[in-house]
Amino acid sequence: MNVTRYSYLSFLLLFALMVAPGLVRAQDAPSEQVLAGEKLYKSNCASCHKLNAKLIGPALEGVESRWAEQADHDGISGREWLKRWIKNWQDPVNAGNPYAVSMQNYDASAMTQFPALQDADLENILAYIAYGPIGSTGPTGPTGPLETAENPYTAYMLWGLLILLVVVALVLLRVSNLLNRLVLEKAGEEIPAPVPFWKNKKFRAALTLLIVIYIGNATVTGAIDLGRQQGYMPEQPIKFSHELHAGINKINCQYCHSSAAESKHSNIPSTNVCMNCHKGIKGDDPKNGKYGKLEISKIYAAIGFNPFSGQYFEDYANQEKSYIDSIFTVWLSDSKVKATDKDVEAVLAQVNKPIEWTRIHNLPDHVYFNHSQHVTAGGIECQTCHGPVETMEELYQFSPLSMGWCINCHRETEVKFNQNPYYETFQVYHERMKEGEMKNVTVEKIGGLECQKCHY
Amino acid sequence: MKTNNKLKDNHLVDMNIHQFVKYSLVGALLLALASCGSDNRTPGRTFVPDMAYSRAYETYTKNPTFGSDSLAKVDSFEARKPVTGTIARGILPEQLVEDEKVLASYLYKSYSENTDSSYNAATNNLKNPFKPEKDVLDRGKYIYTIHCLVCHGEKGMGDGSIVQTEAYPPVPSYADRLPTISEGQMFHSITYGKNLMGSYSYVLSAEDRWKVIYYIQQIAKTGPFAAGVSAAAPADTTVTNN
Repeated sequence: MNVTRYSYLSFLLLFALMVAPGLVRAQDAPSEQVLAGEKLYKSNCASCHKLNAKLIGPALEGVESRWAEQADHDGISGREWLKRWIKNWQDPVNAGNPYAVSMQNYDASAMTQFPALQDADLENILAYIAYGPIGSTGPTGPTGPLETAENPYTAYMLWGLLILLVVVALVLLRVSNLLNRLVLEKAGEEIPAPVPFWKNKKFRAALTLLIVIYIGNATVTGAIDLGRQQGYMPEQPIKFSHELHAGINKINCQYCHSSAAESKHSNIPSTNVCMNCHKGIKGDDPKNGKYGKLEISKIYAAIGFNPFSGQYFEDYANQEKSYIDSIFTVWLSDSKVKATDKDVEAVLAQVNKPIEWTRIHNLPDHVYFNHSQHVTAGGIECQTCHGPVETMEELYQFSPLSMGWCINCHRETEVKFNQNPYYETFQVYHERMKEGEMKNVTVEKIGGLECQKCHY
Repeated sequence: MKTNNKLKDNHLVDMNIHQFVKYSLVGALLLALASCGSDNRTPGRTFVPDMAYSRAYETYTKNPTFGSDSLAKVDSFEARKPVTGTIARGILPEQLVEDEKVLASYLYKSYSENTDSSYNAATNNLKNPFKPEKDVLDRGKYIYTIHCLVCHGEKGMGDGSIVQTEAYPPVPSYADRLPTISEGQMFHSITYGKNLMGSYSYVLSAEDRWKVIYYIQQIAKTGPFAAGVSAAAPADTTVTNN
C-alpha cells in the first residue's frame, strides 16, 4: 500500500517537473530579427520609452497598430509614416500628417532624431516592440534570505554547554562528598553534621564578591555607555536600503551625500536627488519587490510628482489635498502591491511634507567634527567610520564614536602626506621625511591629539 | 517529595528542591538584568544632555519660527532656501573674464530656461573656459566617478552599474550621441537635465560642469580630444574599447 502511494506521488512530482518549464515558456523563442531589434531598442529608444508604461515618451506597446489605424495620410500607410517619424519626427509633422501633428507636443522635450537608422533597423525595432520584452536576464534585488553575521544558535549552544558543565560539576562535587563520608564511616570516625551550603562561610564570601563585581561592572559599563549609541538603528520614515542602493547598484556614497567632501556636515539628500533616478524607477515593476512602490510613493508625495503623468504637479503647495490623495490612492490600489490601509495612510501623510529622517550618528555638541577634513584632505573611506554600509539593509551606527575610538585612530593613521597639497605647510616634517629621519607622519604628529582640535 | 525525603534521610543532600528553584530564579533575574538596555531603536541615555544636544538650531532641525500657522505651507527646516536671484559666494570666476560666452555659463540658470530653444541656443552662447590640462581632467574624472559613472559607465558606453542590474532603463552611449551635440548643449543638459536625466546644478558648480564635460569628451574621443581620430569615420567605429 505504502509503496504504491509513494510511487504514485513520485510519478506526480516527475510529471510536474517535466511540465512546469513548458508552462513557463508560453512565448515563442525570439527570432534573430527580434534580438537585433532589442539591441537597437536598448541603445536608442529605451532611455525615453518603456514598452508597457509611459516614461518620457509614451508606452510603445501597440504603437504599430495605433499608427496603422490613425496615421494614414497622403496615400502613404501609417506604418511608413511611423518609420519616418522615428528617423526624424519633424518630417511627418511638416508633411501635415494629422496624427503626427497631434503627437508633436506630447512632452516638453522633443524626441531625439535618429537619421542613422536604416530601414532594416526600423523593421527590427518594430519587430521587437511587437514581440514584447524578452525574459528578464539579471537579478535586481537580494535573491535569497540574507545571512546574518552571527548565528543566534551558536550563543544558545554555548549557554547550554555552560549549564551542562555546571550540572556536571555539581554532580561530581556531590559524589566526592559522598565518597569522603563513606571513607570516614569506614574508619569509624565521627561524621560532622552536614552544613547547608548557603551557610558555608566560603560560599557566602564568594557570592558576595561575585555580586560586588557584577554590580560594579554593570555600573561602570552603564556609565561609559551613557551618550553612546553604537548599534543604534532607529526606524526611518522610508524603508531605504543602503544594501540595494550602495551595494547591489553600486551608487557612490557621495552621489547622494555630496556635501561630505565639501563641508563640515554630510548632507541627507534632498528629494530631487532621489528623483534623479526615481523619475524613471517607479517601483511598479514586480521585480522591485513588496516595498518598492510604497516607499518610492512617499518621495513622490513629498516632492509632488505625479507618477501617472511623469510630471511634477504645478503649484503643489496649493493643490487640494483630497485631489492629491485620490491620485496616490489609485496609484497604490495596484493588486501587486497589496497595500494595506495603514500603508496608504503613511504615503498620504507625506503629501507636501518634508521627509523627516531620524539622525543616527550624533556626536555630542561639545565635539567638533568635520567631514570634508576627513574625506577630502585625509582621503579616508566612508566605510572606515561608518562600517560596511553597502551591506546594511537597514542602517545602524557601526562605530562607537567614543573619544577613545577617535584618539586611537588618530594615533594609528598615517597621513597621506605627499599626495596632498593641504599638508605642504608642515615643512619640517617634509624635510625630515626626505632625510629619512621619519618614516611616516601620523595624525597625532600633526596635532591630532590636541584637546582644542575637537573641543573648543 | 518522596525521593526528596529519602535523600534527606541519608544526610547527603544539602539543599531541597524548593531552595534550588529559588536560587535559580535569583540567578536568572541577575542574568536578565545584565542583558538590559539592548534596545537599538532608541538612542539611549545621555549624561549631560545640555552638552550633548545643541541648544542652537542645527541644519536639519525644526525651527518653530518657520512652519507656524502664520506661515502656513512653509516647511520648518532651519536651513532656508536662498532668496531667488541670490548669487552664492565663489560662484563667479576669480579673475576678470572678458569672453561673454564664458561669463554666460556662470550665471546660466539666471537667464535661460529649461526649453528646447535655449538648449539649441546654448551651442552658440556658451564656451568652455578651461584648457584640457591634467588637473582639469583629474577633477573632471573625480566628478564623473561620483555623479555620472553609475548610469553612463566607465567608458561612457551607457553601461553603468544601475543599468547593468536592470534597475534603470538603458542609457545612450556617448560615442553615438556626442558627435551631434555641442559643448554648450552638454552644459545645458547637465544644468537642467535632459529626458530622464535630472539636473545636476544643485551639486556641480559651473566650473565643475565644464571640467566634467572635458573629461566626458576625452572618454568619448570627441571635441578637443578627437584629434587623431578620423572625423569622417562613423561614430561607432571610432570607439574600440568596450
